[in-house]
Amino acid sequence: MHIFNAFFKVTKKSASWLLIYAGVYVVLCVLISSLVKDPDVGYSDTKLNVVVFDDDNTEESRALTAFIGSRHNIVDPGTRDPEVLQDKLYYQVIYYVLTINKGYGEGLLNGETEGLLTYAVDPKSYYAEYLNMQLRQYVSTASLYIKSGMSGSEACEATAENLTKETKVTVPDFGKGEERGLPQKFYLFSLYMAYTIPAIMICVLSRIIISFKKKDIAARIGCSPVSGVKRNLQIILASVIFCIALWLLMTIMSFVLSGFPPIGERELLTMLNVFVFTLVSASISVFASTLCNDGSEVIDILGNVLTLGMAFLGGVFVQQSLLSETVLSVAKFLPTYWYVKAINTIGEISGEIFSNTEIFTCIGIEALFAVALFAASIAAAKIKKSR
Amino acid sequence: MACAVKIENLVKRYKELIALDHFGLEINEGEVFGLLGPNGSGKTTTINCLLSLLEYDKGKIEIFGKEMKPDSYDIKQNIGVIMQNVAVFDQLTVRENIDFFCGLYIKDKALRKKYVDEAIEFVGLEDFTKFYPRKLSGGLLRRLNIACGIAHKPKLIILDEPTVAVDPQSRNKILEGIRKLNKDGATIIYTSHYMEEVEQICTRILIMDKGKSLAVGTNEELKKMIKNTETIEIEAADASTGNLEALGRLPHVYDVSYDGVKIRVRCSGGKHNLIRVLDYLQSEEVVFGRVYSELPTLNDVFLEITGKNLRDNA
Amino acid sequence: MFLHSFKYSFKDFIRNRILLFWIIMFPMILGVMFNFAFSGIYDSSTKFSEIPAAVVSEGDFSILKSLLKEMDKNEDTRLFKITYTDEETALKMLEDGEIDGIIYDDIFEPSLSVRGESGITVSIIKSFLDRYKSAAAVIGETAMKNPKKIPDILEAMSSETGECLTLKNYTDANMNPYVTYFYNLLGMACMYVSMVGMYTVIRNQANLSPQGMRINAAPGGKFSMILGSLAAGQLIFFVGIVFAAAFLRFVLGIDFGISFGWVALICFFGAAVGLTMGFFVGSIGRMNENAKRGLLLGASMLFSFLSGLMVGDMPMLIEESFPLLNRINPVRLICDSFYVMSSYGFNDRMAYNFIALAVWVVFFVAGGILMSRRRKYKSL
Repeated sequence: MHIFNAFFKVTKKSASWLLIYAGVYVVLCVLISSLVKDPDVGYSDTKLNVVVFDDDNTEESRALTAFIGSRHNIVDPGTRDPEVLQDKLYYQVIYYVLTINKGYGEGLLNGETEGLLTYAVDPKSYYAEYLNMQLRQYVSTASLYIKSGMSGSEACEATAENLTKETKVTVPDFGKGEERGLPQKFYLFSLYMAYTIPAIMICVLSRIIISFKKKDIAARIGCSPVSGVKRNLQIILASVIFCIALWLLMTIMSFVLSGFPPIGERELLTMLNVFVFTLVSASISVFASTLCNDGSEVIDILGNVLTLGMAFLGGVFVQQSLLSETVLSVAKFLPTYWYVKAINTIGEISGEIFSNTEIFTCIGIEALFAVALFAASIAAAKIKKSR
Repeated sequence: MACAVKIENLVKRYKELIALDHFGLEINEGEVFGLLGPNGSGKTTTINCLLSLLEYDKGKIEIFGKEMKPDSYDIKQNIGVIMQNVAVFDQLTVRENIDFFCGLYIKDKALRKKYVDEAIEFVGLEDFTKFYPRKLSGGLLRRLNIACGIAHKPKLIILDEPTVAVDPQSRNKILEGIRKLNKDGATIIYTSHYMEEVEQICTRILIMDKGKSLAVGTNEELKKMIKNTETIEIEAADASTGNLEALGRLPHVYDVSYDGVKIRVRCSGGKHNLIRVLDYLQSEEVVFGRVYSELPTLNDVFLEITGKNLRDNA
Repeated sequence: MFLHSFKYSFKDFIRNRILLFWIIMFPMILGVMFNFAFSGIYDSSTKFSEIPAAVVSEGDFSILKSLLKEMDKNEDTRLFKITYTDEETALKMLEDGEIDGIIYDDIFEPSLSVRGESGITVSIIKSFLDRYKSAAAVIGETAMKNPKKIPDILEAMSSETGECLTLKNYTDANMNPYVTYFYNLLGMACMYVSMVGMYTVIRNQANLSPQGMRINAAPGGKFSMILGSLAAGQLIFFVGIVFAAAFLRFVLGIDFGISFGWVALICFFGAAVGLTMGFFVGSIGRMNENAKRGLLLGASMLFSFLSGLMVGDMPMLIEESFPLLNRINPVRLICDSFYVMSSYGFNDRMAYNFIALAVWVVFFVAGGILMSRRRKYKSL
């Protein structure tokens, strides 16, 4: 078990930069998960800052402006300078600029609704479509009223009245009693671990293993009466212990940061998922270190490429439900995809429904990744040796 | 003879540890000056202070009659350094490495090319000019290290443990080379803990330990400082205490020891000590095997002064 | 001395293939991945598939039902995949996730039941019902006040209404919101050049490497040596990053929205900031090499994250609470430069960005020189 012990001695000595790397990623994780707001717009009627330029100045256009004002905040930018407006849009000081074109009132009365309004928006936000839906609804309702024989002002009034009545939405109680899904912060933190855990692993664990592989040390170990397989097994065993330590750290942090939510079935499942994923990350690092020779300056960049790429494709930074089918089918070859799917299923996000079978399938596939990669590293080491 | 290097009263402290304790030396031009001492005695520290790379607490350092400071470029121009750690660039070939370092001293391209070629020839690396350092064996690497240090034909050459982990062939070449450099007029400072080398090539030697200068002089002068002039070792299977006592009473003998295998007799002064010892053993019919007679070594000098061996780290 | 150092540092860096390779490959590989991942998103209408819902109604006939059936006939208008069933079954289906919502078809007050989390599909069902309700209300009111007009209304409802909204943005620049990810990618690659800067210092300082010792034992100012190395590093890695940018632009077809000359210029400033940052950190005496690497990596990641590399909205959030950060974060400055150039061309804000980047370079160089100006060291 010598190598096993030596492993931890090396770890102890490298404690300072180990902590820096781990620290960096943990901080990143904390920042991402604590600063990000709920990505869903939801239908809790968000009030946006909107600019309205009324070039028509009729009763109808003023009614429209009033309608917008009832749903959102109308802001006066003080200028029509496109550069200023674009800036405000870019930094989301305002979200939408509506220009009621000249002839709006007339067009409305005539039933020709094409091109009555012009808008400008920052396409980064999803709010554009939301506002567009509201505007379209207003215009079509007003047109209908006019078709029904009302005058312009009557129609606008009726429309305003009409649109206050929104569909009632209820949430039936399925009798589960407990809170559905996962606590918000806990979910986010667990989600972003899909990026930080592999990143820490590759930066830290691979470095340690590579230091073992440095020519002199490897040769010295190679002379000892410990077989190649045994040696690698010891390294794997040490990695597993490392995993457990990291997993404990991350789990504790996730609980601390989300304000100590009660530990229910879902939280436990999440912890299991994280644990298996940590093992997978370790297996990736072990495998990567068998390929890499001595480039410790490279490991950082390589690790980043891998982990960032996996995170993006696997649906960590962009919801899985938004990715195209092609992307998802490729992502299925990455363990990150399965980890995220499991988390989403537990938390019922991104269109997933809670299902034990589903969750355990995902975790099982992750475990397979780990086994495969560990085996591959032993095989790779053997091949390298025989060269 | 002009003074090449003068160090007076050098003190260097690392917090509690005193690395150099009022250390001083004087080296004349044209000498091969050896700095001998066990690991940790302060040899490298002295060198680093000498080169104005290391801060020191007290003392004065003069090279070629002028005070040595970090911006004493005129002095630095005439110094060549071969460090203990091989200081070459992995991504440059042998020739490129030598050219790079030589270029720090010699600006003239044509002259530099000449010097670089001569340096390569000097260390015998003609066949390896296009090689990268990682392809060279330890000995060749050391030779490269040397070439980088002397290419610009400095007047003062400092070598800090140049033959550590070097094969015998390379070692000989290195020592030969040093002799030649000296013959061509360079003053050499040579630090080592290998006394055999120091004895071989140094004209004057300084023995140091724990940051202090213990003894200075030529080989002969140093050996005269100690009591021991001859050590006789005889393989004997069973020598009795009586034998040993009797041997101890022989003239000029001051110490007798026996480890069950060899009898060691130390003599101070006198001639024909060996014959007297052998005569005695024969007369007592003590069976003996091989016989060794040694003149004192620098290790003996060191031993006598400090009670330690050069090779041990007490 | 400068040229001498430049020449040999150039050879040194260019032969360190691995580092060069990865600094260039990093933005290229991730660029490919981003491109792949994002190509499916921006055009979100392609993602649309029919939303599964259930309709629970009292009687057989209802206006809503007929409307839905009409919509179902035409592929263009088909929104939902409807199951007509009773309440109990519908609730079960909702719980199991087979459907996203239950529409209670009441003639006067249709309502909706959902599972409880927000979502685009739910919003769509709701807004459909809202529109239906609006129209139904109009019909209802007309029936009471002016029944003769009902055929007109029905005709209006079923015919295509002209699109009342026209999009006209203020810049005709590339409005693909995902292009900022690529800007940030280049920014991060620039940060990675800091490894080179760090290496420069180490190879030139006596207390950091044996080569440095030998260099310092030689005559000559060490700063011309360092500057020579830095210049070589800047040249090589600037070219490397431009190469990666060219790959993004010409192979992947990412439209930066500006001429490539400007792209190169921004990359030049970016690489300089990264390089000198490495020089700065590398000059810190009391740290070991691995710790410095960790610090540089951490800073690179932090800056990139704060500029929105992982979570696109990050800079917006920062602008709300702590806008100064956006003005000094080097990766943000690089990303913003691309954005501003492509939206407006060279203007005040762009000038500010360049100046800010230059200030960083000066700060790092000055700081680094200050820290490495020692000739003699306390210990070696």
